[in-house]
Amino acid sequence: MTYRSLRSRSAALALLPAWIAAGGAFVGSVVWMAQISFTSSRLLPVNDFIGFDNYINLLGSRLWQTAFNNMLIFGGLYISACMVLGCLMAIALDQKLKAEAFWRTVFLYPYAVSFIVTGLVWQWIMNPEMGVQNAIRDMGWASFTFDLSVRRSTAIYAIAIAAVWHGAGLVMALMLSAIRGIDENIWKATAIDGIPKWRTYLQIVLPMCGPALWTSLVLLMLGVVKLYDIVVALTNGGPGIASEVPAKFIMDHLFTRQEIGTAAAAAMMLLLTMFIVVAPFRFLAARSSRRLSQ
Amino acid sequence: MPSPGTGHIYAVPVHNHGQNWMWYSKEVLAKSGVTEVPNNWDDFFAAMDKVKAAGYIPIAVAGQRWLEQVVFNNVLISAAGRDTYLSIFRDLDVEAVRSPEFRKAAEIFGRMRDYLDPGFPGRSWNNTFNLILTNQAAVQFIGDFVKGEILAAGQTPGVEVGCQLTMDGSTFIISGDTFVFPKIDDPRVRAAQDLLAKTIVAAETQVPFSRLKGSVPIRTDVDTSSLDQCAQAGIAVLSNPEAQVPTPEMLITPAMRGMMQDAISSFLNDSSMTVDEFIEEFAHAVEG
Repeated sequence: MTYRSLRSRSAALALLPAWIAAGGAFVGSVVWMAQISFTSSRLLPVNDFIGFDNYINLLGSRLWQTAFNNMLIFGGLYISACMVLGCLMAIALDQKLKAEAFWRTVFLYPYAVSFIVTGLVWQWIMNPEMGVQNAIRDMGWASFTFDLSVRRSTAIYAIAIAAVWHGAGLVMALMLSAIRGIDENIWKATAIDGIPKWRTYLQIVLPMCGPALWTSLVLLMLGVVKLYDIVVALTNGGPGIASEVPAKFIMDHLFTRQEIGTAAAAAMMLLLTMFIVVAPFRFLAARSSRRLSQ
Repeated sequence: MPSPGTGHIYAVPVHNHGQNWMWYSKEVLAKSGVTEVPNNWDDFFAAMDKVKAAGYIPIAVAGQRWLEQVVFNNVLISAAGRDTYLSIFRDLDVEAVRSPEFRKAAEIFGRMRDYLDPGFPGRSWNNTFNLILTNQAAVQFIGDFVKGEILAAGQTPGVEVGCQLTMDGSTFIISGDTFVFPKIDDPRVRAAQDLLAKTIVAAETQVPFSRLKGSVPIRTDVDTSSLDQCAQAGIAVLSNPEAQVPTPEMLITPAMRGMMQDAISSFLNDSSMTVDEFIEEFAHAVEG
């Protein structure tokens, strides 16, 4: 046996537990969920077959439509705001400030706070009677309003604000390390050519941080789909059902409402949505790597 | 409760909570010029207008879905009546939802939207009840478990905070917790289950527990003279079988309950939602 084949065999063996976990837990769960979504299961799984009834009911459900729409609105805001703010904060910290470590900690600290605590604290902050609005009104500014979480039309934006406060720091940390990895000579070259700093960042440095940008994007997208505990803590889907989100819909139907067939169908729809969103990126990545290797 | 014929104990009710109580701040009502506690919905809204004019919060609502549902249950039983209530929740009769009695309850519930304060969505029930205790709000429709808050504030139920079964004191919506015993063959476990059951049911447990918890005892043969006036009023009403009404959760599936809560909470939080839309969504929930 050559040294090479021994190494690859032991590598394969070392990866075996991960394969079993991935195969059993992830793929197996998805297959099982798919099967349940075609049954009339309520509290416990039943092995009948009702076709696409769960899916049809889901599409006609006002609760699911609201939740899905909210995910799209939230996703757009959360991803763009975190990326923009994260990059801006990283660029700001790249300016060789004296108290860089302090500012880095301040911006990254929210990410260390759990979603539940984030949601709860922002709930208090945005409550018109207990929070910032009341405090500022007491100081004299009588018409100040900051009550997004208790209004139906703005509840999802309240959640976006709390989530962006939480997540922008992570993008900043990833982008800062990527920007720092850029060769010093690039800066010298752009200085010689007289290119202003902002253009250098926007059109040269940031595009060179492709992998870091992609990592940030993926982490943010995962955050959008996973959005649950912050919603429960901030508004619990309210007022009414204005800030419902798909993950909360699925959790509520799996447990409290004892409708695992419906929950499974919703989970499958969420999975399908993710495939549709990620597929173009994967296609482009595969095409560009094939072009590079040619 | 022993199952007839087997002599085995399957479950033990711990307490009996009334869900349809109207708690009111006597001071707020007095200062608003409301001389008599309303016992029908027309007088109620007239009183609320006075409270609003005097600058207090008329109806304090805890904006969580199960509590918004409790408020609606209060309105439904008193405005639509016991027959309609049971047709909907026990018989799952969709036509009962489209009846004029239900419509009346829906209209009253919708009218309440003009008497709430802006900070109610998401607020917990104890923070909401605090508005009653500190005389900032006039009434709250909630179960009798709030007595713990009254006692913690150093007050006496019925004295500073008044209580009345919504709306004319003629029905009592029963809810409560139960210990359910799994079937275990080990005789020591069975003996322990028997002991637990006996302890919970004993008069020496039920009366002091009720005094602190706010519920009424599960048995009718105990001396209740040491309980506060609200509990005594509740026990008196409960002695009439026609007044006893089960909470919807004893009758409907959790899925139906979830859909009803969606409809109720949406209606309460959205002033533009019409009574017809609410009735249709509620009917859809009953269809299941």
